[in-house]
Amino acid sequence: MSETSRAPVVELRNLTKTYRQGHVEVRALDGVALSVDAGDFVVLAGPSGSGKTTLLNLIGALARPTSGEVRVGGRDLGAMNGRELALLRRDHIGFIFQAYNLLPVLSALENAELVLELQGRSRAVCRERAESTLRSVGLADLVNRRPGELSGGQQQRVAVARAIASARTLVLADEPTANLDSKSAESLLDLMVELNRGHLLTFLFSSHDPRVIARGRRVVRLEDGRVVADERAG
Amino acid sequence: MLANFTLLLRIAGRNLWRNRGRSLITGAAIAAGVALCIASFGIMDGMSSDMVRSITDTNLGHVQIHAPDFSARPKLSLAFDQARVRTELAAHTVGVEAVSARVIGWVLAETPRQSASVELVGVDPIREAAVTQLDRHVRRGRYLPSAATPWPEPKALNADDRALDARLTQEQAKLAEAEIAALDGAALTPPQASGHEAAAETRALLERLAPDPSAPPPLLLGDRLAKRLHAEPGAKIRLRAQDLDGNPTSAAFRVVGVVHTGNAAFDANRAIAHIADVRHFFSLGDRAHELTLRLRVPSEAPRVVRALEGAALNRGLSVKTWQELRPDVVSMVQMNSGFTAMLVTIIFAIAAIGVADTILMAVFERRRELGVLKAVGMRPLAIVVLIESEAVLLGLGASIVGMALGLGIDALLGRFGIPLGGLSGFSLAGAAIPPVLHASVTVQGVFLPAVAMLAMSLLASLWPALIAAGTEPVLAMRER
Amino acid sequence: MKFSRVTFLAFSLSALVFGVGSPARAATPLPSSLVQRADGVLRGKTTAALLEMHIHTKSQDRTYTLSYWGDDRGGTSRALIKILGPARFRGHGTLKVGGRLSLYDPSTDGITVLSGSMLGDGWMGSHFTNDDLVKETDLARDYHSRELKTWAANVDGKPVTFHRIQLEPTPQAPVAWNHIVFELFTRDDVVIPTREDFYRRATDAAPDRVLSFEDLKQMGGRLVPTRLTMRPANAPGEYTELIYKEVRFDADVPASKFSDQALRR
Repeated sequence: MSETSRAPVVELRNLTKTYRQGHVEVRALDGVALSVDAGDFVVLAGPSGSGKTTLLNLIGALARPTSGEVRVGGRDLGAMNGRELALLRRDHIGFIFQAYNLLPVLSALENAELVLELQGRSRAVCRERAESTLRSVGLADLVNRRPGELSGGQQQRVAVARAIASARTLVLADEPTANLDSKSAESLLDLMVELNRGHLLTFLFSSHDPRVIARGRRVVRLEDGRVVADERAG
Repeated sequence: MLANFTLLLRIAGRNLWRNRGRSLITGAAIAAGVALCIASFGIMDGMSSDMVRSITDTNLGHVQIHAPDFSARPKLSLAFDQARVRTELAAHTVGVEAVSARVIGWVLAETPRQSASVELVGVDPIREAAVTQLDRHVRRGRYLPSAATPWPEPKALNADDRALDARLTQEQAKLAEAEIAALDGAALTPPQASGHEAAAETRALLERLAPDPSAPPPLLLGDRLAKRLHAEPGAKIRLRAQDLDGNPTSAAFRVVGVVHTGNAAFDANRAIAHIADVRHFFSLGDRAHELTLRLRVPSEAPRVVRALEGAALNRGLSVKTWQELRPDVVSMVQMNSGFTAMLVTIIFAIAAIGVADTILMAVFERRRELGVLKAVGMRPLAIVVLIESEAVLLGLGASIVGMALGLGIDALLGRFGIPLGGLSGFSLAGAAIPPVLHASVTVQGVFLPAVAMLAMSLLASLWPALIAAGTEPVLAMRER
Repeated sequence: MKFSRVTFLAFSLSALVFGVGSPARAATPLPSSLVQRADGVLRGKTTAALLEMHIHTKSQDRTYTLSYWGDDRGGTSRALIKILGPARFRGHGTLKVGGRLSLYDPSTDGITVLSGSMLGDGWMGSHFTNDDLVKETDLARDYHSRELKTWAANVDGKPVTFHRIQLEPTPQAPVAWNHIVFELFTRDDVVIPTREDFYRRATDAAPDRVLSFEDLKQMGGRLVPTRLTMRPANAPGEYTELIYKEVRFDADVPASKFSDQALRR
């Protein structure tokens, strides 16, 4: 951990991703180069269609680039097979989705335990970590609720808990506040900032919401699949 | 892997519960399939064992001993010394419940109105009842009395009688000669008076040479034969045949009872009498054509045959199980199983399509969830296990319900049966299809469908499971 | 008598054609005509005979005295056999009208018409089957004849020509045998059978049964074999002999002889 925290967590070189839509080739990313340091709090900003989500997909090892290189924790994703990528996601990357994407059949606690269980931790460890994480996101009283019984903000907090319970190095969030009211959004951002400080977690999330962008320590702007600005807040 | 197997089971179980309406319908279909299979097996087993019993318990027994050629071409001369064989048999009686000796010959049966070719079988009434329970099949009249009819022994002629006989023959030859000589001379008619005299004297000689029984011996008839002959209990029937020496033999028998065994060949052709009476009729001495054995455990027939084979072969006899004697019935039973297997296969195929469809639908509905599971690091094999767990849980629950249902149906059918109505009492290959089908329960017949249905659920959901395992994790990212 | 003269004329005529009248053909007579004449040696248009039948088996020896009446004049051949003795069988009779065989048992005054399954049984315990009596087999009609061998020999001091002829049934012939080997000899204008070997299967090396013809005598105006012996192969030492004591051919046997009343008498 100490080593990865010094080296860049994410390194992108000349990253290109094209999709085929019918007969038209769409260039979602076009020669993106980017490096994210450990413990940073980065917002990917830009209008929709600018390539934010595609970039997150590639960094999160959910898809492979058309060309270019993605390194996470110093490892070249292009050289890894599906199984290795799955283990990388399980052990090092936490995801927070715009639509929360909790498993509806599991309680808040069980959702938070999910990744820990996949890692093969003991029942006691799973339970203890999930509970403490849920406590830290302010859901101590709601652990036994199913997602359907929680508000959007609460669901997204469970998603955050799921993403960080196994003490990952990198948390990727795709428009995490887009489905939330402004109050919930604000409190979620507070939580993420707080977690970033306490856990030395690296956060990388996309948004087109100016209020969210304002909270980023570093803001990377994308337009038409290119990085057009990379600013560090004072 | 095992650590999160319980997690997978939990997710699988809750997913089934989440779509409980659909799970219930599919489960009900599987349960009905299992119950139907169990009931089919029950009826098939019941029918097969009824059919087998209809031949073993009315005629065949479980093991038979004959002269080697007798089964293929029954002939009077193929009789053997059964007393000695019986003694040897006594040394090997392990598992043999009863033995009946039989003599068998074809005769012509005549009533005033009809005549028919009949298979006359001589049995010891008590032993036969112990082997085939023939006494229970009497429909009208009564069973054979256990004692044979007193039948005077034939006596040789003395010198005077022989001289008389020779003279009578000579006279007859002279008359014939005269008749031949007189041909073309139409005036001369053959003298008849002395013919009548000769007939009376011949009858007196015959009384000693081939005496009639003291009374018509009792006879049982198969019901269809009785109908054909228009003979009911009390009727007198004359039987004619050639005896062991090829001599014409005839005697009047009295019908005492009519039997219905359900075995068509038996009911249509057989007449049964006391073995001693039939031996007199055919001049068979103490010999028999067939020894029929009833075993305590029918399935032990091959073992008993092996035990007896050595001794029998020494006597030049062949020992056969009922299966060897009636391969047609064995193949009917197999055909029966074949039909059931076909039916069961169809039921399974339908159930398999149902299961595959249900699981496939569940997979397509949950693509995003599956994508999330992949995104957070669940491996494809775990996803296969997850989907298979849903199928197996569904199949297991439904099979248990189906087993209970099937046993219930079997119990009802075992008790009350399915009346075949118009079809009742017909027979295939001589084995009677019982008028009422009764189910019989076997461990195999109950567990096989349940286990097979479970295996089928597993197989049928393999394809949806593989589709699920191939879900792209990037699906998780898409906006709702 | 008139009838018998006509027959004699016909007989002489055929002898003329097949024998004396045509020396060229006499050297190579058609096998089928030889078979036809040998097969009919003891058969006239009508036949009346007095016979004895000796049956010898493992378990018994028995002699029947029989009268035989046959009529081949009409479309259906008819025959009546009555047992004249001994007492055990006296009065038993067998009536054959075409393919139908009836047995009469005087002890019960019953007539039995034989069914198919009983036709293969021996007649009255003999080695001749009921089938032998009922089958209206005409060797010349139901079989193809093929000369196997011919050789010269002496019989009763006179030179004769022997023929061995193989008979194979025509496809539609209702016969029980795969083939028959018929041995006969010709002397002057007569044809005399000596032996018939009956084979059940084509592959059989030995015949199933053998019928031999012996004791040539002048009887009923013909030279005929008067002792016929049937020997079954499956019971060595057993045989049935049929001995002609008296025979008359071509007399006018009344039709009433072949009725149920005659069978009962």
